[in-house]
Amino acid sequence: MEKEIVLKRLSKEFKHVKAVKDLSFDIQQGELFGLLGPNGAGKTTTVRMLCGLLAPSSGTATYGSLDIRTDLREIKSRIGVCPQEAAVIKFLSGKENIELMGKLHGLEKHLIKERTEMMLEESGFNEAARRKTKGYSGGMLRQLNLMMALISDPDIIFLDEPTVGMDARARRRTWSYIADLKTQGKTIVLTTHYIEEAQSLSDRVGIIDYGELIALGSPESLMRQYQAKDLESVFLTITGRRIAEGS
Amino acid sequence: MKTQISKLNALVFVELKKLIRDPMNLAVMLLMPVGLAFIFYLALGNVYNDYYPVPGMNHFEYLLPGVMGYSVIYMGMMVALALCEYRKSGVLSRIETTPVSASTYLGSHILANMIIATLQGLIVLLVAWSLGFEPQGGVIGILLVVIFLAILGVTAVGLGLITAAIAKDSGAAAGLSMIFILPMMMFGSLLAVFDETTRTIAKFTPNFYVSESLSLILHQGKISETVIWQNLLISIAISVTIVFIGIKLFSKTAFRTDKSIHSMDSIANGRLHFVDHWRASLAILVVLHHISLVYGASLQGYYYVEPPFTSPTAFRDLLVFALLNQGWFMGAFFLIAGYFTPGSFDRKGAGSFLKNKMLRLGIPLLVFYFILGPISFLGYWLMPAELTGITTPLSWASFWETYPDLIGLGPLWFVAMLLIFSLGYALWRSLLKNQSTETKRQVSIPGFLGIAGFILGLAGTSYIWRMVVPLGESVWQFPSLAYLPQYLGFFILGITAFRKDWFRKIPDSMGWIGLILAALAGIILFPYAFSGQMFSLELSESFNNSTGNGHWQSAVYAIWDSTFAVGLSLVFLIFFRRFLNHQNWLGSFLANNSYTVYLIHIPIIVFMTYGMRNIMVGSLLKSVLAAFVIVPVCFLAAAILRKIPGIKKIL
Repeated sequence: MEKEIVLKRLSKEFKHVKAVKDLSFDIQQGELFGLLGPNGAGKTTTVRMLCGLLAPSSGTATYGSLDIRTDLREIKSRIGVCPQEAAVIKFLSGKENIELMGKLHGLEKHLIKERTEMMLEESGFNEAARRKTKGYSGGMLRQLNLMMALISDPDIIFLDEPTVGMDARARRRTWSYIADLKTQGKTIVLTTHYIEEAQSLSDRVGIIDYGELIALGSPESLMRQYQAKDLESVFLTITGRRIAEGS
Repeated sequence: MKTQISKLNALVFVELKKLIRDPMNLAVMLLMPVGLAFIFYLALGNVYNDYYPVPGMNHFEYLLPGVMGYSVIYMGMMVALALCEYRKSGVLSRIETTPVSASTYLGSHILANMIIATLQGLIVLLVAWSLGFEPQGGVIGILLVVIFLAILGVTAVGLGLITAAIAKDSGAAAGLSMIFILPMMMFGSLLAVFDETTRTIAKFTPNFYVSESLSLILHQGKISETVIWQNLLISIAISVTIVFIGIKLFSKTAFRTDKSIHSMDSIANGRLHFVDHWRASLAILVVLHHISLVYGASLQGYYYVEPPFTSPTAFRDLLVFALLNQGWFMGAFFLIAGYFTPGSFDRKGAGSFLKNKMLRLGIPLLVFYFILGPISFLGYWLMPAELTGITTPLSWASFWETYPDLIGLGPLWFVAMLLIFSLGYALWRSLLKNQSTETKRQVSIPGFLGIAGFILGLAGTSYIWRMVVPLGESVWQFPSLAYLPQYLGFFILGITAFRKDWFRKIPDSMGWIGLILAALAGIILFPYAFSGQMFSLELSESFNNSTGNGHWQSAVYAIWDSTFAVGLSLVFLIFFRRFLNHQNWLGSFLANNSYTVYLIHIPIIVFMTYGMRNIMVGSLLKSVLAAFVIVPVCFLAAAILRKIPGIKKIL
């Protein structure tokens, strides 16, 4: 498999606190890579650097020949980001929010129209999408959040805690949607602190604690290596803490 | 290039859609200009002054160019609010993950707001035209007006960017915006430009050049005057500089995590440092207020005043300062005092509560009444005889002879009134048999209707009360008994605020509401109470009518000071809670000594201003100089006094 993203000693420091320390690993093309770790471990900071929202303090990451320090514009045209918070414009309708993201990615009008209608149709969101997002429920906002990330049909998709705050049913529906995306050959980077999510969806998992990569591999290989029944036990074996306890 | 333009278009349309779809935007950006034009027409359409560029125009027409620019200035605040909101909701970060350059994004704000600014200005002009104003300058004149408004729109966006870069959230942005909005409104919009001094100040505001040019074009039709082109160049230079700084600052901070939602829990259980700081700032304001009385604002005589009063401007400015202070600051003191009263009663019980009040309020009262007050009155002997009529030189004999006339409450009327209110509270609690000691703190926040109701109730009561006790009439040594409804109302409000935990729970956005209320009251109602006439050395009839006795000006004045007091109290509460809710040595020093400063500042002011009598500068400048010296001396003296063993139990 070809390497899609390569992290080279990627670090981020905030006012003398090292949030991310020398991360070096790669993400393969077409794989679903899970970044697992407790709250505050440095997952979101890593993703924000990979998306160009934060400049690294040292080290870098490359997308093929493109470097996040110098080629952000080109990198941004290849990625779709679904942030943790429902980042939508309240006075626009759901449909307008999706279309705006298409326009900002420089898509042709007809493409925007086709893709928007297709996504809304598939998600059964057609009716609600014409209303202003101000009155949307949390679940609707999360769904819209994801569609806004996908309108540009990106090669690489970042999903930052996509199911946080969802009930069990909505979470399973989202997992199935993510699994679908994987079958389309997309490279997906998923950050989560839910063990089950990382374990069932990811091809490979990078476990981060206190900004450091403490384990890397497929869920099965990690469980085998640490003789653990799940990834939670893997984390417990390495750190002596549970993921839910936090950093 | 084509792609960037289409991205720019998309973002511009989003901002324009916001204008129509967001009710607050629609109100501030389109309805406010129309409302303002009407209000100014109604209030000032029949007011005439002698400093207009065209004889015969009324004050509404004179102010029109400024009002056109004024409506644009608010856009800066709306831009700051929008950017803070986008940052908080993650929209900015989301846009940042798309291949849109920062310049395209910020450019969209500039372009959209240039369009809106032009629209706003033209709407005001249209309203004025429908009310009888005849714009000069023809089509070219209108085109020039459009250009000036668009440039001012760019400046406003730049100021919005700077504000959004500094502010942590939209509440703070609204408050910070006032730092540029108020001076631009007062001076740049020509509201407070009456003479050369105020005109010089106005030149430091970006919109002054727009107002001046619009006046030349629309009032006089002088479209080819050199000054217009000079102003155009200055306006462009200012707007480019401000936008450049704004973009630089905003780009650095735009996507930082919003830490603004400061946890109320962090202040839920500890000491209310922000109230301490607020009280200290009020004590400083009291000192400044009394300094202003020395240098010209006193209408009734004072412990020491410095003649001669030759400058009408200084007299007017100092008097306005004193009247604005009087409109709210003692009410704020009672609000804070009321807030701490129930807790003190609950902790101590009736007996200890009363004992404590007698100790902390009663003893200082007696000390001032019999000692500090008469000492302060020595200032009478220090003034020139033609002012006081005192011809006998100061001696022990003459002092003791007049001593019975010299004793008095002075500024400690506040302490006396607070003592009465506290006794009243204790009595009320005793009648209720302490039922409210078990009252749980309820979290219900006052809404807009509640605030409006309180203001109107207070204004109505004040109006009626002032039929009996007009402003400026001293009764039983209480110099501002005309404000009794406000003092009592705010004291009760403070008690309610404690029970309902309003000081901690009231949202930051209320500060913004307060600021708008105070600004509107100060700008529109305050001058309107005097029929638009400013003060002169001979106080006008409308000034006298505003003091009470049932005149309509008194009703306007009551609405003004009630609105102003509630508005500014909200502003100060939120400001101090937001920015100064922590302890440091300076804050603690000021807070610990503020009560003592209140008690001892009068004799310090008298003797220090007497000591500065030979400094020959204008009264306005001299009062500023005196403030810089006297305020630190007061605090230093208070700190030394509190070192005396046993004094801290009282002070």
